[in-house]
Amino acid sequence: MTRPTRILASLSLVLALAAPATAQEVEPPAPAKNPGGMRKLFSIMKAEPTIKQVQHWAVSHYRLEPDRIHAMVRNARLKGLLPDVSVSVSNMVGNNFQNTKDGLYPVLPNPAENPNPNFFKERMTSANDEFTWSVSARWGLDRLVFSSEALDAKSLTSLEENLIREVTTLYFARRRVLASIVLSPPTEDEEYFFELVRLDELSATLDAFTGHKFAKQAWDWQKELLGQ
Amino acid sequence: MSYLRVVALAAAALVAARPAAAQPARPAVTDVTHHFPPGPYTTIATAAGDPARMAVGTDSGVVAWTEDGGAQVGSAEALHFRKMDPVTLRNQTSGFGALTMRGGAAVNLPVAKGGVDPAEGGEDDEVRGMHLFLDLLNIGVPGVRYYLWMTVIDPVPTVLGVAVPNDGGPMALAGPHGVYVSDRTRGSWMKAIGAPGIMPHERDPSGVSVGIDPRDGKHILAATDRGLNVSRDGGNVFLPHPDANLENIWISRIAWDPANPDLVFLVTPDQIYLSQDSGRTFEPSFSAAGEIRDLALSPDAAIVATSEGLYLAYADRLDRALEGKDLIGAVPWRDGAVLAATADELFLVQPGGAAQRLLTTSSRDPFLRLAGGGELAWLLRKDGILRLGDPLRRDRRGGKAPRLLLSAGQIERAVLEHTGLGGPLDTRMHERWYAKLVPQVELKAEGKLGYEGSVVLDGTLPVRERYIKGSGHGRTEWSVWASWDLSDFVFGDSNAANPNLMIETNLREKRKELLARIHQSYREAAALARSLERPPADDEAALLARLRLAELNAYLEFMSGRPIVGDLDLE
Repeated sequence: MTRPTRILASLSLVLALAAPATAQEVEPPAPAKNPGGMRKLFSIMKAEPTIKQVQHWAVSHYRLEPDRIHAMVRNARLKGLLPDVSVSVSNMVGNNFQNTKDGLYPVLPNPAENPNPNFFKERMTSANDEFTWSVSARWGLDRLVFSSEALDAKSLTSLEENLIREVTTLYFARRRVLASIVLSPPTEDEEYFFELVRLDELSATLDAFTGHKFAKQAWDWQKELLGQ
Repeated sequence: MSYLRVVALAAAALVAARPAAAQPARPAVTDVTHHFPPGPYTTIATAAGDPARMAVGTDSGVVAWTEDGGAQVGSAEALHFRKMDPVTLRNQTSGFGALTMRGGAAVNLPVAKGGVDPAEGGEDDEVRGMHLFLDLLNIGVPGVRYYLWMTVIDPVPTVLGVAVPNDGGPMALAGPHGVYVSDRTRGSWMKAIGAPGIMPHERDPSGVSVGIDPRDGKHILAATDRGLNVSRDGGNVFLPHPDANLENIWISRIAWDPANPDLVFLVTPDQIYLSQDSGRTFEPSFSAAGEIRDLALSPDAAIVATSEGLYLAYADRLDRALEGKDLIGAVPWRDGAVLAATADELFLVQPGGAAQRLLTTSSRDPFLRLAGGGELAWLLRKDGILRLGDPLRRDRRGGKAPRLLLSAGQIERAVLEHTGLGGPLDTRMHERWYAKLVPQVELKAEGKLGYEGSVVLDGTLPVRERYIKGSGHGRTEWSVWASWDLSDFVFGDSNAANPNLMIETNLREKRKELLARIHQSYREAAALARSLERPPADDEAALLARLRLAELNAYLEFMSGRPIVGDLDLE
């Protein structure tokens, strides 16, 4: 025993100098019965939206319903059934003019009535028009077997799970605050007020998560306490 | 010297005056996790000498506290940072870009623009990245990163240390971003030490531990990775401790002696520093063979938990117990006994040194810390809070208890099926070799309509038009092409350069996280259902247990699409 013991002596000494502390007596919490409060709490809870409703509203609001994600995954594969389509149309208009002088007719009989310009003996006017169309369709049938886009859609499950977890936690955190307010409200006004503020904070957050559907059916303490 | 002798005699008398120790009662272990916000938990602390005043911190920045032994619990989101979730945006030219967005935000972002080659007049990637950034800002989502190689780090809101005063006043906490103090209601928290931003930087101080003087709640000691800081005005101003020896030491725990608050202890991995003048000066007072993990004070001994076992420093002797055990903490218990814990075992150490194992846990949910002591103690698990004390009074009434309708294996399969996350093979982000058997099919159809005509005007004849000719033609062709890429089919599917590695990794990690959370929720639900076979006699405690079970059920039911708990009888 060298250094630890030596150093320990000072620690023990100081501890011994301290006044002997009495063991801390901690009473186990006495069972509490509050049937009136329970009845009130359950009547409030029954009138409020259920957790299933809140979850449904939240995923609908954020367009993250499981059915929608599954449909996106399925549709990503079914896209393989539809081709990439190309359509082209072209139109060609051609005109040819051919003027001929003939050595057998050095002088035309009636040059004044010759319809051809520059007194050509013969003029041939021809037109050559062509209209072309094409359609091509290309199927990537391997996408029916595997589409990486389907996994992009699957990654939305991550957002969905985060949202559900957050909403569920908030919902029951609010229920705990509600239970505390109804069953064992703080005796001091200020503490009571802060509990109500906490309830409002959680209600407002849930309301935002659910596209403003939650607050309409949530317990309004102001009506009950202030008569508003 | 005579003074020392007197002290030693007094200490000996104190020890001798104790009645013959009866066999210390084993503490009743009550899981009170459902009274608190969900974990994972990171730290726990009690007020000096008052174990009924307790606070816990979580890895998501939540602090919860009780002033009455766990019956009533308050909580606050003390560290609230933005969370990032990876979302993939694909475009047509460069494969995909990746960005992060806040969890839960709307996902139909109008930002996944198709690209056009810059050589053909399209925008280049940099400009598209700028548009992406601006579009995100317009819809209220912070655009963080565009390119794949840029790593986005979430701020870490873990609570590393928390301190509870003896007067119900403001609390303090330490986290990776610094030290925070609360207002009197504990609903608002303000950073007292640390850099202004939330993203960690190399030179920013990190909070490690905090302690509040039991006599004066305005006297706070806060340890950062740079050393010890002192505040005497409730955390408004912190100054570095004048003792240069306390700079750059890692103080994992700050403890006041409840019997004599002039005594303050700083626990570091190597030694314990002691102040006898309420923290003005400190002297090294103890070192041990192993790493020092925690310190607790009983009326007659200092209890030091180390990685090599337990040291019990009495006035006249030094005892060892649980030698070789890697302890995470130890606290005094009734009748001179000590409760000590490793990461997976809880022991009751008798005054003679004999140890009795009380509890074990799994490596997935290890014990993290012991706090309190005397008549009431707390054992913190990663995902749970255990109250060690008198047994909870339970209702003798029978009645229908909740029951789980699925086994752990069934629920795991149900979740994977319902979410579509599937097994490892379902996240391979490239085409399977057998997909190459299916060809690329191309159908082409082409048609032509043409007309040719000519008029010959002859100047030698009386008729103007000597010849008029006309002809038309039409043609339609079609062809079908099937093409196979035989390279992967013949030579195998190496996929050495997987362009979608990030998405694959994200999905795989997500599945791992999700299943761990499902297992943890299921275990907690099973324990609650079991304990509700005889619910607590306290109506509110019983209700809290049922509310927590309902919360777990709601989460598990949504994720699995199957009912999980029967006879919950709450809503």
